[in-house]
Amino acid sequence: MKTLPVHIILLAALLGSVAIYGAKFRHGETDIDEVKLTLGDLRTLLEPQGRVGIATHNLQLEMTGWVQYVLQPVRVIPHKEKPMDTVLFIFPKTDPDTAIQARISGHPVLWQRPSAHYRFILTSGNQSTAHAQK
Amino acid sequence: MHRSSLLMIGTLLVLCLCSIVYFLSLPLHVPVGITALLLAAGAFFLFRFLHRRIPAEPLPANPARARWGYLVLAAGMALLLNKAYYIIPKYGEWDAWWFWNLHAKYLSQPTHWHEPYFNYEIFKTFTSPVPHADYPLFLPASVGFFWRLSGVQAQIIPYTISILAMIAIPAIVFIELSRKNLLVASLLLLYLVTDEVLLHFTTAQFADGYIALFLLLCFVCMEHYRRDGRAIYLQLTGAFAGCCLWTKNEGIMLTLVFALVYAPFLLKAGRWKHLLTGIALPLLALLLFKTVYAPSNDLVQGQGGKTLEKLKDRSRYKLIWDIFKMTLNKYFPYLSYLTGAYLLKCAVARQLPQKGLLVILLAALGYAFIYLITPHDLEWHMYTSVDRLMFQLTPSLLFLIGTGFSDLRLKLDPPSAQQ
Repeated sequence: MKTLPVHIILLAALLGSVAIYGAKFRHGETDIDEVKLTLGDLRTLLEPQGRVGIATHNLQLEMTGWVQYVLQPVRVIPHKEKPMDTVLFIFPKTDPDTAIQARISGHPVLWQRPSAHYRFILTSGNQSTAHAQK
Repeated sequence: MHRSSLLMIGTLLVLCLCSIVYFLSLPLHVPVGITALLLAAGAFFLFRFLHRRIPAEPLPANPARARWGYLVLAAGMALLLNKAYYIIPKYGEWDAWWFWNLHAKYLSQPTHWHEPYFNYEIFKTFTSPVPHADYPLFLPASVGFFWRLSGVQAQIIPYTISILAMIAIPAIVFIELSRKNLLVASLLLLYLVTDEVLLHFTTAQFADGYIALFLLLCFVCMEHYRRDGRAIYLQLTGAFAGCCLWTKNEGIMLTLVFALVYAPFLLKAGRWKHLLTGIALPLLALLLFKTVYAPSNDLVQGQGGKTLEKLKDRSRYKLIWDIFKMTLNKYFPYLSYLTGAYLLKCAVARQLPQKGLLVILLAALGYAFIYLITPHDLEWHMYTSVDRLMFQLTPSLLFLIGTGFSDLRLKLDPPSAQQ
């Protein structure tokens, strides 16, 4: 086989893959739910579970700017950039290992596998001020 | 070697170089722009070096055969994309969110990149701040580098990096085998592009696709060396073995098994020196990462007095065998038949099977041994990982089987049909 036609086929396949990703998710078709929660919501959510506690109020949640993949422990990186007061929860609609644990403002919130070890960590400045652990 | 194989090989080596150089630049606080310029220069010289050292493959005498090859490859890629459209998850799957992209997120931050690896104040209360922080950095450092360079943590970057493996695996198998036997190459291409497992593990943004691809390239380069005898192919074999090391912990075992099986061959005429040249950079990066930054591995740390008991426990052997067998039948139903057919062909032709099959077999035994002594619940550990471990070996196994059947065709065909 000559080089150029094979190069063209492979390049077309790569560009096509990127295009189908754009086409599939451009109109919001997604396999996940994205739920924004305020810190107040988070406290409301966590405290009634009976196994978690938020040690301090008036937390200022600072993030690096990239919404967290919160399915795994909520990981909040202390950062000096602009503080944010919402956390984006990302979780799969179809993962059979997840289970609905609570609802906030009409949004279903799914946690990591119920049997798995998970933690929520909220931080203020350089010090961990609150955490919840199952 | 076909120039398109060379293009893919060069691209993958540049990607690996990006992850290594970017990782090395982080503790030195090198601005990302300078790292990018260094990498661009490195990529230019690498491609020039490869083009000078590796001769282009001669064109086929029969143009109709070449046209058939283009048609099959284009149809295969179209099938692959069509299936991929329905499978692609926006953010990848479990491991992608759980640690690969999480590591990449840290690595894209010049001030926070080391937090998963050092127990900083904030993480002191946690036993494992970031999951699998001991995993090598090929995938997260590549993603982290492009995230930092672009200034946007766009999901399209880890997706595109993963998709490279999805396209490269079937394309390399087809291009490399079509030279010998177009029918075998076409059948294997059809198998790979319709294989749900390949699509799943590459679109999920896992590193297993890359382990499978790098191991495949070790065999491809070794095959070229055996045919051609140019030292560059051994250097490339070493480089891709190094890429395996730098991608996942399993890659370390695969490289050791590969080196062990080919040791008698490599020790002759100083061939090992060429292999060492290729593997040196990723090996050094891995040693630096493992000795300075990475926490201890959970499987190693969990060993103790109970390990011997586990080795004596017959029920564990039976469970491992049962789950291996079940996974093979469920996810790789045709592999056993293909392997059986190849072994039968070898028996009929009174040939020994290729040495590469021994690598696959020993790697599978190595995985079984790790399961045997795992500190985790054995059933849980196997059900959550055995399919991906088998997938890592599948493209290489298919390539070796394809090579075996191609040889058979070459012997049966008249010399004029070999083109």
